Amino acid sequence: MIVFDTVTERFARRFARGSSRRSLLARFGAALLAAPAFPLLPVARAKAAEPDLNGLTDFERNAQTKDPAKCSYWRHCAIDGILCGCCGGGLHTCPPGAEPSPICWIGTCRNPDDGRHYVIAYRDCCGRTSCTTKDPDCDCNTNDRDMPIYTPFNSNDILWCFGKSAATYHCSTAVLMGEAS
Amino acid sequence: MKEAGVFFFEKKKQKTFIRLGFVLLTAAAPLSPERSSYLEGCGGCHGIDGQSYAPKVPDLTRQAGYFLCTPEGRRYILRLPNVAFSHLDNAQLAATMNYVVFTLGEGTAPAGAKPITEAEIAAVRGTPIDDPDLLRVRAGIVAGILRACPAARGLLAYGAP
Repeated sequence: MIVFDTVTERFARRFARGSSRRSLLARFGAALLAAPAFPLLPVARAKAAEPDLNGLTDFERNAQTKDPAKCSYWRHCAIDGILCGCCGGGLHTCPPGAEPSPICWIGTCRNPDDGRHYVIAYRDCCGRTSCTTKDPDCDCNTNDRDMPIYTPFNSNDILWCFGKSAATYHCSTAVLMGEAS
Repeated sequence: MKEAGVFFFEKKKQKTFIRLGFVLLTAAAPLSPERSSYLEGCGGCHGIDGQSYAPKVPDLTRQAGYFLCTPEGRRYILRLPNVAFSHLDNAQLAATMNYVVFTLGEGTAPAGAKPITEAEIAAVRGTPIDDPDLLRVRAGIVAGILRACPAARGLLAYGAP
């Protein structure tokens, strides 16, 4: 029995010496401090994966990559006009009877899928009267990076069809030129 | 090349294939900074490849380099309002103008013409052309260029009555 008492006592004393309340406090404190450094919860991890939306324009925050027939489609960030896709044409093509203008407005749009910027040429289709569409989502005026008319090379308010002999405006296409740098 | 690559595709698929190929091709390689700047600042009117196809806008392809034939011509292109007022800084603008005169205007710059430098841009940028009759100013510059480089006759096409 005495042996058992002695062993227990030694163990208890050694344990008490080696594990003070201070060391417990110190370790607990260290754990508290270190915890925020590790994203433990799925919420924190999901938030970390989100792109940084600071510095984006309103258009870029709401841009989508699914439906090219809507103004919110990412390539339409600087379009002032009616989407040819709503008028029997497409993103790259003029509707029958309308001709592409030799002169176009060029903008740079951010693709939300990869976060990169691409140069887009908004080429007007001309020679027919303005395309009429009842869909308000087809008549766009987004104008990212557009500047007032006194900087003509930065303004898209000029009727670009002016390069064509038949200068009537019909609709606008949005051709991808390549990744901007 | 086009025929070989898509020989087995029926017509509709063929079109989609070519278009997809084009998009992938263009999207894969980022544009160079000067090409990007050219497209964003100049290419809308002067044309994607330097040919405007519009009588109201001068072509740059097979022409732009001739402006380096005389010191006045060289200074003139840097003082054009849309060049001098560009949002680019001097180094970026120098690179873009070199792209215009040497790449788009390939074969037209006189032999031994030196690239446009950042310092050159800085020196003239503060005094852009302020004569409202730009065509008249240009005609004077072009006359001088034609004396130095007779091959530059193409410059006369723009602004001809």
